[in-house]
Amino acid sequence: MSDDKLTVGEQAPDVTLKDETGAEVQLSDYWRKQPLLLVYIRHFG
Amino acid sequence: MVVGLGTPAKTAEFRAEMQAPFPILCDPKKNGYKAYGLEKLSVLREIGSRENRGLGQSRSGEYGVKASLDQDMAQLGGSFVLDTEGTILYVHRAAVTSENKPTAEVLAAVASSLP
Repeated sequence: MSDDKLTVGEQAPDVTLKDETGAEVQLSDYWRKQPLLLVYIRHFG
Repeated sequence: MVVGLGTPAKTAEFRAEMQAPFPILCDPKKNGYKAYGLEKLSVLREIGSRENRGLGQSRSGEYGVKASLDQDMAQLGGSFVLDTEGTILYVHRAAVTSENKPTAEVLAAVASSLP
């Protein structure tokens, strides 16, 4: 692992993702409403 | 929020098969996957780990959905807790396929984010 990865205390990247319909969503739209648990899963993709 | 790397259609199919009662976002171009520094599988780490069942599970469909060969078998998962300003409170990046932190540890991080 490299040492330049994001860690505790840093600003999270506000990336654009998609929902199941293909519509783009902004991650900050979620964390601004309430604290966010972001879980990346394996197994498909 | 759960995120996978499939297409929107694959994500909808996966959620239906898993009967997940929550939405799942997708990151087919790996924008977030890269930005959050998630790991790629290392064969040496995988072989040396006791938590290396993930590849077999993916191919066998043990989790209900069988990965196909056009999917990225080398992707690894991870968990992050962010507060309402987007400050990172917790980070876990899996180093091998089946490495997951205890639920209690993740929930404690979530609890710490609450006012």
